Amino acid sequence: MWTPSIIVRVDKATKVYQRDSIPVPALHETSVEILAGDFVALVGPSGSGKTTLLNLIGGLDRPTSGRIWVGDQEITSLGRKALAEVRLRHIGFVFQEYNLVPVLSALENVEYVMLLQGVEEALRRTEAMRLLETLGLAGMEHRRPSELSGGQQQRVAVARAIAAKPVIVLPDEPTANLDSQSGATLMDLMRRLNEEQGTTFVFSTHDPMVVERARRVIRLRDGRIEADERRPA
Amino acid sequence: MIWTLAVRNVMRNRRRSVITVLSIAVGLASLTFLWGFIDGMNRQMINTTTRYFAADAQVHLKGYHDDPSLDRAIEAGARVLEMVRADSSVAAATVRLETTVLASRADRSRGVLAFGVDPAQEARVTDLFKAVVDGRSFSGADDTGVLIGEGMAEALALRAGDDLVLVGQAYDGSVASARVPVRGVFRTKIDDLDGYVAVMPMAAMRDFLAAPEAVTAVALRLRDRGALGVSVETLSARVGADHEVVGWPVLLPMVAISIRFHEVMGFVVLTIFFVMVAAGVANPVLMAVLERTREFGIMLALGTSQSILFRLVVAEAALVGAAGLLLGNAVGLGATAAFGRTGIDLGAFEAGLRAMPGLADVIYPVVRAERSLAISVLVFLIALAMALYPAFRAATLEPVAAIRGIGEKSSGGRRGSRGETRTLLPVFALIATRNLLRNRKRSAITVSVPRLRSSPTCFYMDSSTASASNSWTTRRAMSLGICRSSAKDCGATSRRNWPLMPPQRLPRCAPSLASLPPRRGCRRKH
Repeated sequence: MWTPSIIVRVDKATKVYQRDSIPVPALHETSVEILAGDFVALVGPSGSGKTTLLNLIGGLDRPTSGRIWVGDQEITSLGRKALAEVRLRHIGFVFQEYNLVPVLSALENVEYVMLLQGVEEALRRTEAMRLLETLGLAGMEHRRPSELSGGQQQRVAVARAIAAKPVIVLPDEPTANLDSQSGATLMDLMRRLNEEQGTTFVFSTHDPMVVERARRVIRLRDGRIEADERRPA
Repeated sequence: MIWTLAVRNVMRNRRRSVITVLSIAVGLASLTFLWGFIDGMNRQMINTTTRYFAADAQVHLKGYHDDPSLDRAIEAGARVLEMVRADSSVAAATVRLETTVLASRADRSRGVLAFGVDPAQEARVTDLFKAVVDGRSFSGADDTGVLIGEGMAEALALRAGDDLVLVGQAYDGSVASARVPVRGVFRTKIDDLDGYVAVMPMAAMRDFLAAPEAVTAVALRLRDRGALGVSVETLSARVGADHEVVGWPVLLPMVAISIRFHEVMGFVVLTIFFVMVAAGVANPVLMAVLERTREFGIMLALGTSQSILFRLVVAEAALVGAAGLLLGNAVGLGATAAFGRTGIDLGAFEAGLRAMPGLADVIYPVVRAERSLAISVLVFLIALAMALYPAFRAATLEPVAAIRGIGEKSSGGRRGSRGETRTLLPVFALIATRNLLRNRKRSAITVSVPRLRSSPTCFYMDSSTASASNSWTTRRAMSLGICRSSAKDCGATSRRNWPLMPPQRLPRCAPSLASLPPRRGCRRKH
């Protein structure tokens, strides 16, 4: 049953990839509900279905069967254009690497999504500056991605993800390419955003440091949810 | 944002962008100059041949052009002349009386065309009198003597002041003969004018032919030669159905054919250039898209629409194309304009130039804005068209697959500071070699084709041969792989001497090429 606090609902989603005409199951009849303000870690070994589940929630991929809602909109039946609009308005992504548009500065990368949303220039400039400052990137606004460290790039990616004011942010192994200190800093920042601004995060990881910081841990194995545990704040 | 991204993406791989821009620019500049050169040649050929003697158009009695004879002379020449002069498109007009005569001196003779002209009016229509290099030109109707070309003077061993004997058929059918002094010798560098034309005052010509009133042609100069077609139509209506108005392309078929030939050559080069532009743009744009698969995936994931990605890729191609156009036009038009002022001296190739009637030693390339504009627009459209497939490919990427880097190069190679995969040349060379050896038969055929093509299968053909032989003997000779290295072998020399003559008046030539044995070193094709 749909309740207002549920912002993502996955109902018996199955995903089977075809590789050289051989079906490769990635997710098997998985059901999960994400509540507003959740800080969720999807944990599991490689091939367990973490990234697949994130892609399905984010509308980057379609389930072979099952249904998914983001907010009050079922996204599994949407066309390509409508899905792009859902991603633009409601989902924030942080990828493992090569997250940023290389020819844009940090500031322009953060502004990019707001630009697509049609936010007026002065407003998006102010908001982007504020977010970069919040994420500890003041003074680096005009640097290109190649001039930033991996951790700084990931923080810019987080700033871009939340700049669009999405209902949910989906970082896919955001600390995988970072050293432990940068990874911890990034996680602390996301946690702070979650606590202070109520931004919902669902991230995949197999980094224990990241798992430690999660308030809800969903363990996956072989495309099925093995455990879903909540931790006290 | 699209243009900002496009500019930065173009600047991202500067070397590739510069090479692409240069390939377009160099091709465009070369083509612009080539067309300017061709236009300059064509304009010079038309100007020279029409202004020296043929005029922009002529009015004859109906059928005279196909069968020129005194039987088809215009009786009321003065009336037709007045009608022609009354047309607003006509700048000047004059009457002529023309016939074929035998010109001789001592034991030398040759068939020539003798023209009677009104010196004062003729000078307003053509410039032949300005080409006199020995003796004197005509200055008035009372002048006497004959002007001949230097080729004819040389052939008959004549100089100004010598006497020339003309023998022909008079208007009444009797034999006409006269002994006239050579008043002057002209040099036009047009073989058939210099070698086969004699000009005398109208009064002397009428007296020679016993034709007191008749004229064979009214030659005219138009105010705007570009409006020839319209002028011919209006003049035709004015002079009536019993007369014909013949423009210079019909009067000078060899000039028209040469110009057409040059234009066709230009179009062939243009087509090759367009293919080069297409390949030159398509390849780097496609490469740029393939290299950025992951980046496009990220952009799609962020909510970038397909339309924006499509326009982004097209905009990048447009920028490269526009830069190539600017540079190419600047260099091409600049060079054409510069050489248009100074001219290009081809005096070293005079013998070859004489094959094309009206062509002087110095060619002045011409800048034609409308042509440059048309080529530029086409190049730009081709650049855009070549970006369509890469743009479509980028726009239709599946975000998940794109983010995984499907379609990108292997990530196993070392990466530069900007994440670009460096080329591992030795490995690629090894792969290329093994791929060539995979299908040895195909590789062997590919390697052997240039050898077959470079075998000494050659054939001499100039434009006069091509037009006169109606291609049959040419095709036959080529199919047999006969080598010809001399124009004489296909009778082209004699035709080249008569480029201003209508086909019906040309001497028979062109021996059967098929009967000629292959030259040593030639291959017969089987």
